[in-house]
Amino acid sequence: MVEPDLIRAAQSGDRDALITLLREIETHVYRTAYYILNNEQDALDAAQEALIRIYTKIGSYEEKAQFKTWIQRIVTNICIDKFRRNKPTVSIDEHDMVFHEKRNVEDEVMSAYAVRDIREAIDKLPEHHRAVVVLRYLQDFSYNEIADSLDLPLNTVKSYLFRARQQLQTLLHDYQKGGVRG
Amino acid sequence: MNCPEVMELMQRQLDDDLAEGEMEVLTNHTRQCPDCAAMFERLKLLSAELTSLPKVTPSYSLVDAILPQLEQLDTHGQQEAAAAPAAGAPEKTELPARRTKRERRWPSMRVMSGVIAAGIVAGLFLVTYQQGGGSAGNSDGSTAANMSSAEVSVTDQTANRTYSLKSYTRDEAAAAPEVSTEAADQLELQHDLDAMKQPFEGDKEEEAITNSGIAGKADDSAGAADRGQSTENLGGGGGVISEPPAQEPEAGAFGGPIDGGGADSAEGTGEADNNKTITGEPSFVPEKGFTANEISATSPDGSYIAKVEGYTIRIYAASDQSVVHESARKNGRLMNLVWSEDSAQLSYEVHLEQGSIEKYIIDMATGEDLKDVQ
Repeated sequence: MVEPDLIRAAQSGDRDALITLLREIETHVYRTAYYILNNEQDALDAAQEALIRIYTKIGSYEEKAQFKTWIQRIVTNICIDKFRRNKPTVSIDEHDMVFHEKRNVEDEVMSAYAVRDIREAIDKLPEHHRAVVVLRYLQDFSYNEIADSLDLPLNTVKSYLFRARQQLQTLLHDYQKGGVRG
Repeated sequence: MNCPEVMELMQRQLDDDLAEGEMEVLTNHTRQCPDCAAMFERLKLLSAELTSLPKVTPSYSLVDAILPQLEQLDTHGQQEAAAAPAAGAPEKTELPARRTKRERRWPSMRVMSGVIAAGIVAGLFLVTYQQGGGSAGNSDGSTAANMSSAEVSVTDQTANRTYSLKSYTRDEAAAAPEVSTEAADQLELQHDLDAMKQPFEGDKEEEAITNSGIAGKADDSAGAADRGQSTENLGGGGGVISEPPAQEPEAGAFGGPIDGGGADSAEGTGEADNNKTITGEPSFVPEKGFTANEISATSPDGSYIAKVEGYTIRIYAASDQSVVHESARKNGRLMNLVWSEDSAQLSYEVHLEQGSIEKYIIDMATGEDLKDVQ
């Protein structure tokens, strides 16, 4: 997603190249933050923090890693830190899997429901499960890329992803059974 | 194959991670097991929905939003990188971006600058001591401003040395920029010393212009201190620096121009001549809550005293303290009062909010107060 030449120029001290590079990645950085934090304002803050960190740390990026996993590592770390500050952590097993809100089918369009339900369900996942899902679906990362980004073993990535999907599926299925999506 | 094992196949199928054979196993199982088939359908639906989550974009340009912070980071870095150039290389016109580059390439500069700074700070005490002696020797004059006057007589060479040494000391003061008040305090403590040796003026405004992102926003005093700081360092032996009003008692700092060798570009030329009799009273009359703005200059022949009073300059006759000239009100800080050799003209500068400097000359014979457009 970012030209290697641009990265090299930025690393060698070309400030314009570095700014251009930041502009290219800002949406990706923001998107991850948005879905991990599930809040626009927090996401804007976290994304800016991540961009500043990338700006100052660009020299420490090594080409043996993929650039996109390097930046996602930075933004997910910031988000997980924020997440820990904001919310008490819960284990996936302790989740209250029932949504208490009662919804009326006539209220909203079906697709809007799905998005809101999914975001709400994602919000119930523990931080790392959530990060894995976000990288898999919003950044279209492979298992390996997720493992690099989160500094997790490959098997852990798979198990987080599988459990998260199962969890999400259960949550959303409960919606359906509750008559939300008939 | 049991259901939990198939579950893993389903999951991997969602990520396109199945080999041919595995796909077949999965299909065969779901054909016979309605529970797994239903689960697989739900997972596929979920995966599709996750894939189609809105690709949100930020509501404003994040990079634009952080540009001022990035500029500040640059000046932080440049402050560290600046110590070495200040030792002699005249690089003051370099832009922040380039300085940052250098910082990134040679991080050891920080270490070097520390070592150099330490050495030179030690040297500062020697010079200060000498200066103190010189000052005492001359201070048999009478006015409250005599300290400053005495200092003005310090030779070019000494002024030069003092200048570069001072810049290092100030570097120290700003070494903990996050504690802005502390830095400001240190600057203040040092100000009497500075006041006698070296005026700060001019250059900061120029710097502010080059820092387009933060131009005019010296609201963060730590950042501002840094900026002023690095400019000063890079200024090397030339030039004079102004500090943001928020942290610098101007009147104190302004001892009268000792030009250590070439006024800087923003300064115009030539008006800062070492042998002028210029007095700077380190008074601390607070104006607008943070500046002390009284500056005065006695003409070489001793017949006039020009004083900055608020936004006007009044020139008094030394004999009877009567006002012989009062300038029009100006829209900026009035600084750098300098008499011509023959006491016929007084030049001064108006430092405007936007960072520009206007130079004026008052002709004592005609009473004209004209903008100097040389």
